[in-house]
Amino acid sequence: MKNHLLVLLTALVLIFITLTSCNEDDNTIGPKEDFKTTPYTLVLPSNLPPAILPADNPLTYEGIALGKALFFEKMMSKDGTISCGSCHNQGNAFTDNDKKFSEGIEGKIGDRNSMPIFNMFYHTKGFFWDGRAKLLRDQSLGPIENPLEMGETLENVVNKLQAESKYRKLFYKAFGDSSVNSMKMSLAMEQFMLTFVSGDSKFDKVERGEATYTDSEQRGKELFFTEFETSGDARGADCFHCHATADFSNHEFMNNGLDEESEFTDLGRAKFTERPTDNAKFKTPSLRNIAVSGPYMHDGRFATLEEVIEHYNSGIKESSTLDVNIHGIKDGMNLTEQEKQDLVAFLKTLTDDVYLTNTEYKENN
Amino acid sequence: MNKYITAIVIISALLFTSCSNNSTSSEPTKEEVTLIVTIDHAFGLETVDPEVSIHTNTSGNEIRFSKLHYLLTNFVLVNSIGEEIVLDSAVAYINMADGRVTFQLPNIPEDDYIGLKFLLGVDSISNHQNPNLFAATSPLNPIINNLYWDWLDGFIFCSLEGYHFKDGQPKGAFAYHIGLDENLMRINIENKFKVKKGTTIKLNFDLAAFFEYPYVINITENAPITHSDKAADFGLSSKLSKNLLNAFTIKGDN
Repeated sequence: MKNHLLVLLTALVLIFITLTSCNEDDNTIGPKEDFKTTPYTLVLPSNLPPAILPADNPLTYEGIALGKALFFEKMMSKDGTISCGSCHNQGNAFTDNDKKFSEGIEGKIGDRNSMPIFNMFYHTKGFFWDGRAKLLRDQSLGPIENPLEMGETLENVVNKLQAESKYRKLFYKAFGDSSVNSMKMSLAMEQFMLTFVSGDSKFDKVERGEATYTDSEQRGKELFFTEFETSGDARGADCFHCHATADFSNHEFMNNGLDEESEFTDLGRAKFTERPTDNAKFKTPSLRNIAVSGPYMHDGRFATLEEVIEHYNSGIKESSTLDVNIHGIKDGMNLTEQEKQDLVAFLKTLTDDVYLTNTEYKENN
Repeated sequence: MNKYITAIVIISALLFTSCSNNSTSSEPTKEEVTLIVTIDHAFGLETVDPEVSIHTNTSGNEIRFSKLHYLLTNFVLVNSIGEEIVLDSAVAYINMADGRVTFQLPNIPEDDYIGLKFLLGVDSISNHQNPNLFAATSPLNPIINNLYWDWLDGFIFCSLEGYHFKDGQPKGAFAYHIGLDENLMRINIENKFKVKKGTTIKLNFDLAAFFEYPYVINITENAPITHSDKAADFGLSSKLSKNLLNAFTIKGDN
């Protein structure tokens, strides 16, 4: 009789403890009524168009803080050695330290050049070189399960994060709920990456009347923004047709004449869409910060800006999907040496030291 | 006697008040609805499948279209008694290859209409204002439409790109980028259509129109590229803008 009473008493005590536990970490039902986040207002320089932000993922300080923690978190990888920040280095506009291809877990080498991260709020047509990720949040999860990058499963990452008190608290602050899932991870990383703004380069300062170009930079700018087939004595290098808008990219997928049909090794967007009309089409990268984010092209084949310019000047290879605008220059532009130097000088004015050193994007110590 | 006088007064009062009600118009107010507009892109009677289908114009150019995108603004509906419903703030950005072919016109009175007018392009005031002032999701945001050229200080109104062949052999690419205030195209479609709640209007954009009337355009005989630089395009953008006045028709409503 006494034993039965003891068992009953113990059970009652345990039930009591469970029901009255007020540790916020254990709340997995949803946001409490008094849950609040702090809205973060993205501020862009006056010469940039307004940001196109996702209505279903408003920026909050708490969401951004979680996203930053995840961006630099090496637990996202199978062996705990690789985070997003391992291959996206701020000083290189969040590309990878002058590398053609990045090194993932176990020394594995990737197959496409690390892409920069800034002004993501202008990218309306998809992410990755082939646009297979519709939204930035979709892109953020891609490297986790890529065997050449982090080589982990989303399920394992969720479990690892859930086990950490630090993350339960960060998830709770961001979403009012300490349960970890991949959707919340992606929304937080999307928020963090959306805060990366590049709009303070010399080019931007000139646009705002705060600086002036050197003669060479000015000539380079005119070449950049003038068509190849133009009138009178004007000379043009036609760059702006694809590297258009204030973000220096139309964010579309194009074949820029790197290879002939028989030389295609990476089919680019066609790998994702399975349409031959997308063969060898890759996303037009923004040219902002281009001087610090080499090597260039989807496979990093060009080490210098001079090589890139020479490709467009004299190295276009024809194929069935060569973009219409590149057709116009495929027979060569005959740029002079001075014109090539002027173009490089102008491209260097797109380097934004404010963005490259902004401590808001750095890992918290 | 007093009872009868009271009754007469009351009845007269009722008659006068009810008469005053009858003297106002009996026309019911027309409900305003949102009209959905969808644009089909064809080449004559052939459906255009971007980057896939090939179409032959009267000059014998065999054309594979890769891209067509354009801006439509300043919509006006004309009803059966000639009244105009002006929607001067309605804007649409259409991108054929991306499948962005539908837009909405709000606050249209339910009625019978006999005409639809709009600009293929942007009026000169909007064309030269600071493009960064458009809202983030506005069709006129240059990030959304990729149709703004700084050097032009304005928009490309309509951009067509593709490849052409002869007897199946590739002949090259062509690009028609039509801009400049003087090339602004005022489209006027005279056709009867009804607008009721839930109505969808289907427009047809006939890409053959680029090449036919009033100017026959042979891609191999004209410059394959125009960016509306008047000094360099031999009047091609001007001719194309006149041809496009015939490009749009109404296919009918639901």
